[in-house]
Amino acid sequence: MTLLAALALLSVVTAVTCSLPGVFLVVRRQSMLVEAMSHAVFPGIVIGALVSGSTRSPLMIVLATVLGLVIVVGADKARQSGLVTADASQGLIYPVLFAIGVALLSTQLSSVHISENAVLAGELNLLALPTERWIIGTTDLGPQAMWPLLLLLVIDALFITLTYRVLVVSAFDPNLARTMGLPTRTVNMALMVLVSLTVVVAFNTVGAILVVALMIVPPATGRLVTNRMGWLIFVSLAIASVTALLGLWVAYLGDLATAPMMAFTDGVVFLIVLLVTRLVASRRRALPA
Amino acid sequence: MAVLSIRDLTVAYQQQLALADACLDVEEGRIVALLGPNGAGKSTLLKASVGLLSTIRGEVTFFGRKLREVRQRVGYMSQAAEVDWDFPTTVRDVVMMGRYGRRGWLRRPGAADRQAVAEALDAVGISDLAGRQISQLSGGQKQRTFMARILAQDPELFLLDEPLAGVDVASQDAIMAILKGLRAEGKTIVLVHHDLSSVPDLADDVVLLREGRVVASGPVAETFTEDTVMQCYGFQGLKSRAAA
Repeated sequence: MTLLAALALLSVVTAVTCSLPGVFLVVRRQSMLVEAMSHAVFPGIVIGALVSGSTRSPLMIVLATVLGLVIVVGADKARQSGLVTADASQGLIYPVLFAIGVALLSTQLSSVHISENAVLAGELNLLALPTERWIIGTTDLGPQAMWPLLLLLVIDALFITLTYRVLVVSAFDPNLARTMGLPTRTVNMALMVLVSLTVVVAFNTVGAILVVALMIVPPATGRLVTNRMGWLIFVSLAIASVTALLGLWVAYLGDLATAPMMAFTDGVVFLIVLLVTRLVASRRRALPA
Repeated sequence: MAVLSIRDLTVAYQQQLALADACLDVEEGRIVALLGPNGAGKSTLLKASVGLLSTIRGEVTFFGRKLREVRQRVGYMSQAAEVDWDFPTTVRDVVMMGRYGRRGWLRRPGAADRQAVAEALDAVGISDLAGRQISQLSGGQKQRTFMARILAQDPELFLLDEPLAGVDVASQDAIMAILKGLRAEGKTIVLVHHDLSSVPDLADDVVLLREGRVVASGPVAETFTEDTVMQCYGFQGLKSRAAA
């Protein structure tokens, strides 16, 4: 497998895996939750790396995912207390956790292999190198880092297929879902676990900061062009794939890190689609059919 | 046996009592209007009775049973303002949501469900809007969509939070006709209501609330008097009532 092919595979799989749960966050108007989570999981990643010596150990994944859920549960409790309003409750918690992560990283981990750069932007390019492949016999199965993401994608897809109706009713009218006796709490919590897992597993490839762009921007772009939930999922995944490849191409031409260019392309595509849809809408108003 | 029986229901937000020892019995086949000024506890009463709010004390039974034993016989409709009308879905899909409790959320909707949805849309007169994105609906069309959804849900007891809020005259007439039609079928309706002038035409019984307490309840003829309305709303209410 050529380096470019491996890069393309890893980029597309990362983008698609991130944007699938992102669709539900966008329609639930919880986009900023990813921002909070991606900061909150950070100390978990650092401690996991300290204990196991690698940023890919199962221990690290579990620890970091649990810390991501601290945001969900903690923000819920803070909101119920009535002392702070919706977003502030997340804002209270994640800076503390992120600060602990940064402090640990800069004091304890100077020897271990996590750089500030990797935290910010991931190491997508390095993870596609021939030394990082999964090779069985003589078959090159692509970058090792791609496989956990692919597994997560399959789990997400199964979960969404199974609980689709509960997810949709809970997002649109939670009171109806609860009074009909749908398992909203369980399904919502499961979704949050998957979101947190996505943030953690995507950490290696895209870092803690860019993951929010990859999860939220493709569905947000999709929302501009479709008004149907089913289509939105499909369109978001398509946009994620295209922007991943475009971003990779820009990075390749400019000799830049891939993940930041993917996020950058997501932003540019969002702006273009926004402009075009606005223009079309104002044209329609100007020329009533 | 009362269709809905509420005893000493008490709810607080932070340190503030929103509902204090509310008691209520609703008989089968009646339209019951919950009345009272803003913040009187009308919506709180409905929400707490179906378990959407945590209560300090009190007991609520439906058909003499706990809600979870009779969920399919009870339908709750939120205020239209409480949901996100920008959600990417259509009128038809919203109405279909009413079916999920009945057939289970794991199963794909079948022909019977599509039939029920079509009938519900027809009953509220919005069959032509079935494929419409919900953000494009007027206030009256939103309430009709919600009415269609609870019709598709097909409960015996309808708990409706302000089904006539923000509607045009045509929609108000259509929804009131549906409510009366349901009563004729023996269904029971409890609704939060704001328009005092339409109370005598619509409701059989009224429950008047003020500051979280039930001030009066009973049949319209006996309970919806100048005295009770004055007690509940003050002079402003008296004027609205006189308009009836």
